[in-house]
Amino acid sequence: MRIAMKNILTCLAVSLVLGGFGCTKVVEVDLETAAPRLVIDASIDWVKGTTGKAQQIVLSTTTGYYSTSFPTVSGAEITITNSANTIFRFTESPGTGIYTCTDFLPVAGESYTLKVALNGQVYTATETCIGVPVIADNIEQDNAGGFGGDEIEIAYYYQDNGNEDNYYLHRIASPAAKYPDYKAKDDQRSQGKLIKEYYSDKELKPGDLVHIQLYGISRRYYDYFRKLLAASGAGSGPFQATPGSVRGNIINQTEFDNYAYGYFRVSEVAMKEYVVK
Amino acid sequence: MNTYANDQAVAFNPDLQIYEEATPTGVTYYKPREKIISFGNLEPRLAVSYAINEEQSVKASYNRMSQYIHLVSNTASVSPLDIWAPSDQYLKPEILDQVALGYFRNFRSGKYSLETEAFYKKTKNRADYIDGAELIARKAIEQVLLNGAARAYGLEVMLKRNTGKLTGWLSYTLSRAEQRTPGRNATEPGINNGEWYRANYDKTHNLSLTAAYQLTRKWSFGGIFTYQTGKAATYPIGKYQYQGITIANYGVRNASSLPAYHHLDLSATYVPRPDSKKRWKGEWVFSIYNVYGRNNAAALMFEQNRETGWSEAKRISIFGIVPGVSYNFKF
Repeated sequence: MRIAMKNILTCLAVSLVLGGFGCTKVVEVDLETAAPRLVIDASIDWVKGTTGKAQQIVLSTTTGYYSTSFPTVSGAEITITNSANTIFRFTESPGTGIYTCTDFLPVAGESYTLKVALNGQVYTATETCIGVPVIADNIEQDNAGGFGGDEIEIAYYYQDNGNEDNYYLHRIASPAAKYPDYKAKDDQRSQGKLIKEYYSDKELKPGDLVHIQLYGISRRYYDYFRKLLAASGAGSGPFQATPGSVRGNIINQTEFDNYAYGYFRVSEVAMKEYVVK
Repeated sequence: MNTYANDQAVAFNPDLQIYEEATPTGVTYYKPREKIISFGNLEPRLAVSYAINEEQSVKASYNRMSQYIHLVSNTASVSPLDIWAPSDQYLKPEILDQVALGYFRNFRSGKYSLETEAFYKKTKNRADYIDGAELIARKAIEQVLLNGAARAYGLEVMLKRNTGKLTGWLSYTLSRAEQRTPGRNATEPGINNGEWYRANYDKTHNLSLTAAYQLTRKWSFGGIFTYQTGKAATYPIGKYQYQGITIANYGVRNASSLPAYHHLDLSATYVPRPDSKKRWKGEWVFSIYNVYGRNNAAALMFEQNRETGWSEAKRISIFGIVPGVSYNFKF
């Protein structure tokens, strides 16, 4: 199926390019802006080989589409509680909207509950900490890779656990782009196998440092993130369905309709760095 | 074929008020050529016309039609690929009822004619996809589709010049096409809160002017001008930052329109030997599609610029100005 998709995409791309009819132009569009809504970026990352004690949660709000900054949200009380009722408190570095914790205790399979109290409203979410395999040491480089065979492409490996359904989030940051590239993957076609993942970019050059991060994620987060990618425009190919507004797992317990965007996830993270040769 | 709890391939998450793909509870296997499900529908049709006099007539009609495959159209897409899904136990056949009322009149003994028609149609079991659905290359399309309804109404007016050196017509349609996908029960919101909203193919105004001019027996000229309201589109109503990337936050589905779509096409036809008695009859056609090179938007994409990180809107247009020469022959 993947091969077929790639063929269709190639044919389409080739016919558009050869025909010379396809034309893309950046245009100004008059857009309305809805009232700001709270965004809770509660991504707990337990990097392999660390204690995972230091964690942060970021609060902000939505803003106009063409706005050049994102408003931060201060004054919230944030805690995470584990199943043994141990409370981890997050305190704000005043005025930044960034809340940090120094004594978090990550355990794979443990269940955690997030509680954010802000302006008399309480938001909660519950998530399980999901483990992740290591990224293998051998990273391959192909200088004739990518979609058109003219990009530097790197490939890395990780071992899937064949006893369960796994979901992965890949985050790759490099000087080739201003923001990281994400991919959400499942193991449906690679159950229990050594999985190979690729990254390429036409702007990638020798000497570039590529940061690879692999997160273990839940099924629900996988679904969420794919929708999010579509809405970010990153996942938008010629086959994209209309993205909607993407709801995460955070619920406003005080006023249901005044919901927040964002997600509470707890993930183990495997990291690797690679310098392009 | 997958099976699902309560026969519902789309699950509703009441905590978040969103639709999600249901997890299949099992798989039913069918042998090749084995019947999975069958549908039968009557398709009654009724048409009445009455000639008031030699110049004028009225017409009324009623049609019921059933369609057993579903077109799942997708506004953000610019590709010519549509998804067609067959009816099955999850997707029932679409049933369309249409009524139309028309008035026709000739002027100056048929040199000009006027045709008007008002229509109303109603479709049952129109498939609609859930927010954020991925439609291509998926094995179980029923996991992202809900049954809804569609309706359309409008008025068509066409004025024709039938004889003379200059012939052609001007047609104008004012119409509205909407769809609605209510929740399956009182606790679900459906799509767009179960309210009627513009269908992807809705075009409020659709104007078309076609003219043909026979200059000599060898040369004739033609022109077509088309103007349509832009297709319905869903635009962001804001954005936010999450994990280092910018997420566009989309509003109500199809609440906006793409820019208006219009183009002018011209052609000249040259028949080298109009009096030829040979079986082989040839003609040259010189044409220009989209004379003033308007970049009609096939779609707008909202994304983050890779180099700057800024949010931007990109217009994708397929055809600019396209000149053409063709040789047609009959034998």
